[in-house]
Amino acid sequence: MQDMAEGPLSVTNLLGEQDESAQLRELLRDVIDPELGVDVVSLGLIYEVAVNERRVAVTATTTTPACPLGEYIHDEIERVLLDSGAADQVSVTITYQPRWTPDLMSDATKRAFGW
Amino acid sequence: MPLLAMGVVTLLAALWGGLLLLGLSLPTLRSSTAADHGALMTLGFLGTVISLERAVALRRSWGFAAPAAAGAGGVLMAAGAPSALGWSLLCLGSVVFLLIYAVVATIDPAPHVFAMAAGGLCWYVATVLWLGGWSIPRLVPWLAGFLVLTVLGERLELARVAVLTRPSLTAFITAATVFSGGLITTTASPGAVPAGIRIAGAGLVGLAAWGAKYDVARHTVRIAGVTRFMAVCLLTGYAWLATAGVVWLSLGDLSGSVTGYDAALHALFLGFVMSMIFGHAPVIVPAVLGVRLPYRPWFYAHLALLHVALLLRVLGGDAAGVRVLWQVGGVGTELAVLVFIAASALAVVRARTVRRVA
Repeated sequence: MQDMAEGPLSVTNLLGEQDESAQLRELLRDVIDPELGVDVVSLGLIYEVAVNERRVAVTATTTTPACPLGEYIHDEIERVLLDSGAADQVSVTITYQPRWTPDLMSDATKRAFGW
Repeated sequence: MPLLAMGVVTLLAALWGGLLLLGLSLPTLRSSTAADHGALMTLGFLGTVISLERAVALRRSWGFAAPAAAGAGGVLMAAGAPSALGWSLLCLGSVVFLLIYAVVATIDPAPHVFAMAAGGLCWYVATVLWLGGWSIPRLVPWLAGFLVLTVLGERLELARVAVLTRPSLTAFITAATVFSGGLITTTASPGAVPAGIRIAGAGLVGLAAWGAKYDVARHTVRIAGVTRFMAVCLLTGYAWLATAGVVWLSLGDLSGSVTGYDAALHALFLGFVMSMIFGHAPVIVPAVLGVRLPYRPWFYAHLALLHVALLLRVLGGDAAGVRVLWQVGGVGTELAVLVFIAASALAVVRARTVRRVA
């Protein structure tokens, strides 16, 4: 018997697939902040993922402008999206507008850190 | 890459000077090789690396003048150029370093940025004092201030992830203010030095206690791999920071005895600062060199060597007065630094090889 969760009447199919931007955002959970051991999406470091055809533009930040991880995050985002085959071209912009605050972290991440 | 290379050359010269200070029978290279050990290590090497890290973060070309000046100052000092030239370049590096923080503060005017900038100010003060004729033992608290406030500022920034409550921020500001007040007191007059050292020592103990209670490493040490390694480096470093604080607090006059001076400085600069450098290499190296430095379990080898050798040096050498243990421990700490460089280089090379094959 076909599994209902994967069949034509599954909840996923009824609701429709996530839009491309959300799917790419999920891929970025493979980019881990080495110091915190948490992915950049859960940390709230990804501000925007824009898709145009197979070109992807990601706007991200670091926890502070004094943090040297900007280049690392930039390179890892490019690597993850290109290696996934989901994009042919990736551009990453690191911004500090708005400033990152811990409130941008996901609820699960906040709980993991004792909030 | 050339900027980091200058830092590494300075580091190697500093390590050689360290071996001479340990009393080993080695060629002296230059008459000042041993005497310059501390300045080369803290400003020539660490000043270059830390300011390079900040310049990379800011991504403004002029910011790289800070590590360029610090690196050039260190290399010239190591090569035997007039000391005033080397120190002037180190001073110039600190000025650009402070300008970097000025820009960062306009973007993110937060307590952690001001703490790190205070560290930069200590670097500047140390160079100005030297150019004003002060000896290294007199200005060494300011060298400590540069590194302690820089590292703790970074930790304060990350502590926000694990809820930076008002009591924790107050505790940090109090300890940092006490420490800074101690530094200023040491500079007021020669007679105030012991009091200043004790006040600064109390601040160090306070900052170590803050780290033990509030640093995010307490949470991240549970996450396997590089995250745990970095946390272990930090947490063991705090133990040495507390040790240094107790030594400063109890000694007062650091120059009063060779063994006290050795323990007071190396608990801080090796136990705390170098441990932190080991932990942050997997972040700093990719950021600065643009290469991957994957974590390897063998990184614990140089970390363990550093701490065991330092224990031997401080307990067996400085406290118990056994000269051979002091020397063995001292050489062991230098070996740990060299193993760290070799292990990091090996991890980078292997990562590049794997990527090419893939």
